[in-house]
Amino acid sequence: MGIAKKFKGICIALASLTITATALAGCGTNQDAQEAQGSQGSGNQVESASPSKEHITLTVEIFAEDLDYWQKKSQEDAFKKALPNVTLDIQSVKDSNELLKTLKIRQAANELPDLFYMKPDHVLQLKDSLYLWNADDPLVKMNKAVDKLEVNKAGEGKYYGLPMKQFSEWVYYRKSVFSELGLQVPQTWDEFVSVAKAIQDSGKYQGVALGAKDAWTQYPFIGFGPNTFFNDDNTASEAAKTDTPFSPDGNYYKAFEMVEKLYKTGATGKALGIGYSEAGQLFASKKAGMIVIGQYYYPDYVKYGGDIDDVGLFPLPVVNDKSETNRQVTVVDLPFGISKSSKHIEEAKKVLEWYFSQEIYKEYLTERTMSSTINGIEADNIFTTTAKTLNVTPFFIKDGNEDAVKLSNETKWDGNAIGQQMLAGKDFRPIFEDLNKKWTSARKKLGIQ
Amino acid sequence: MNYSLQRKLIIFSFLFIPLALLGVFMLLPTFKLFQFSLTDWDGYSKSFQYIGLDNFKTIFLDSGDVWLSLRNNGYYFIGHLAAIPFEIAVASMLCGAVIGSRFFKSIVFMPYIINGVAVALAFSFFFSPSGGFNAILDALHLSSLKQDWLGDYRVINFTLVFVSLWRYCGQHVVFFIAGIMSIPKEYYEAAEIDGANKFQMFRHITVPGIKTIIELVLFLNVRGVLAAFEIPFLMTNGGPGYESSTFVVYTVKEAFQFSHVGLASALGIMLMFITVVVYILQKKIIRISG
Repeated sequence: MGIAKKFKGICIALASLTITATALAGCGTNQDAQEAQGSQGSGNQVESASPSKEHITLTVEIFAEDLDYWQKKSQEDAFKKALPNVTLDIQSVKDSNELLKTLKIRQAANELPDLFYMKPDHVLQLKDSLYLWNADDPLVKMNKAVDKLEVNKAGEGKYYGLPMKQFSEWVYYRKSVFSELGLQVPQTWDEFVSVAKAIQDSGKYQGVALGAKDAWTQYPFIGFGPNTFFNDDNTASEAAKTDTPFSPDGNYYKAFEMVEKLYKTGATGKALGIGYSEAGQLFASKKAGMIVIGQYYYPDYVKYGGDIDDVGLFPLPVVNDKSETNRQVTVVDLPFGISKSSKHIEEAKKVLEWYFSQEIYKEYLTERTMSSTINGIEADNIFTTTAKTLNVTPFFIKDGNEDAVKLSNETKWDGNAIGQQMLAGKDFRPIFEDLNKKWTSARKKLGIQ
Repeated sequence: MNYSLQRKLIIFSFLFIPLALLGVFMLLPTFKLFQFSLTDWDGYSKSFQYIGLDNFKTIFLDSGDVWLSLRNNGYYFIGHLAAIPFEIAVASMLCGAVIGSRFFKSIVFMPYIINGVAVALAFSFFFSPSGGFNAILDALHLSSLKQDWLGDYRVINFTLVFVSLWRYCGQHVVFFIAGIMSIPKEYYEAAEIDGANKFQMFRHITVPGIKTIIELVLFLNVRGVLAAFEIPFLMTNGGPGYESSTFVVYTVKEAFQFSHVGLASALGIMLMFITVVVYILQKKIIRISG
């Protein structure tokens, strides 16, 4: 009896202790959270603080394709010498959509990584959480692309991010296929469509390798077409100023008609059944005569065993008048963002100083066949060499402004998804009619003039 | 402290942590879901506005793609429902004196154990235009049946339902095996003495004996098909357009691609209600049909 009573007493005491401890823990303050909030409130004032000497870990969010490079380089002595007290916690995501999702979720929880990649169209959605770069910052001064990205400008000489690289869009073609079929490099869009069809009609090769199961792979046509075909770098923002941007006289409609010509030839094969990597392999294994994509594909082409002597390059012809100089889209990409609530902004900037150094950055550009955004560091690869031989106008596309982003979200305007429907044999016109109605009411609802 | 008070204190103390966890991780998010469904929150702004039932109005009056996605859930529902008799038959066979039944019992559960991402990727290659399935058709001289299994909107949902069946049927079969094994052998012996054949035994002993398991599988079917996500998301991302989207794929796109967290929350609430309503209807139909 006595033992039972004692046992009960111990149980009660333990239970009471648990509750008390839980309650006290609940009443306690979260110093970290307060510090984080404090630094968020102070915003860019942290910039003036000198880097601390205590050992810190910086969270860095990048694309999976760059993970090996970052991990390898951050383990080398040069990094340890430049940033002896910093360890990088490198996290990676597969693609642009996943990056935006991850960043938005972390932004909502006020837990953005210290340093991270952004796609240009992510900037406006993350701008409230970004550290603002001053124009006189040495890192900004050395970046020649910081001004080329319209959405990157925060006003009053400040910027949201530091563009990490540039690349152009190219048509990769198999020289042997062209010579076997007696084809010439096309000079106009219509010629390009004809060449694609001729290759397809040969019965031996697919005209254009396209992995449209990954909808984004259509961007050289669907994403950029409304700008490049009509020499209009600001289509997206202009669309926000009108009620019916998807009407037959608009850039979107006319561009989709031009792309429809290509898709209807059947030269893109069963594009919806394969993704980016399968399309890449299709071209590398010479089962397709052409692929239209950015410079970043080249390392994959080599990896898939593609013959580097048999690959030729030309910019996608977007003009239909041979006397007009062709335009080639150059994408200023991956502005590095720093979270304004980071406790280690100075260290994050030091990481960028290290990254943009001659030894680290030039090797990256060579390995990934990209073009430079840094003054004094020039890439030396097949694209920079080819570009020197061409008569083409570099074309920079402005991403949509805030109104355009809001309207796109409200109406769920997704050109690549409509492109997929076109490839599935559907007509884009009724979809555009519906979009016009949604766009009109969205402008009214959001009060956009 | 009297005995009654001590008893209450102990009960309360030991229940406190599980209840607190339930509150924090289930009730609070559910409450937040209801709250956000009445707002226009975009998921990242610091503030939002209450807009009443506008999100629900948008879903019912202005979101044709939601209903297209829900229709696609219907394919999964019908597919899995139609597979139940087959699953029971397989379970029944595996419980009988079939050669290698032990081996098949273990192998039938394998697809469920394999990681869903791996399954989706493997089948993506298998059903790609130059993939294994079309190669099999070629080998069988059935090239005329070759399709763009993941690109043609007329067949895409059937392809995805097939993958879903491949992955989840084994789990159901294992449930049915457990149910059949719990039926006393004496019933079958008595039926055999009375001259019942195998089908009659299956119809009048096996099926009524696993009624509870059938109800469980039906409930899992409703819950599972309405929450179908990983297979369409990984294999087609709901495309082309929304042709292979499901309710949850659509919801995720609303929340993260188009920043409509308020609307996505309303869709989440709708999903809860649809699950409950379909389950109740299904139970009533089972009762009526005896």
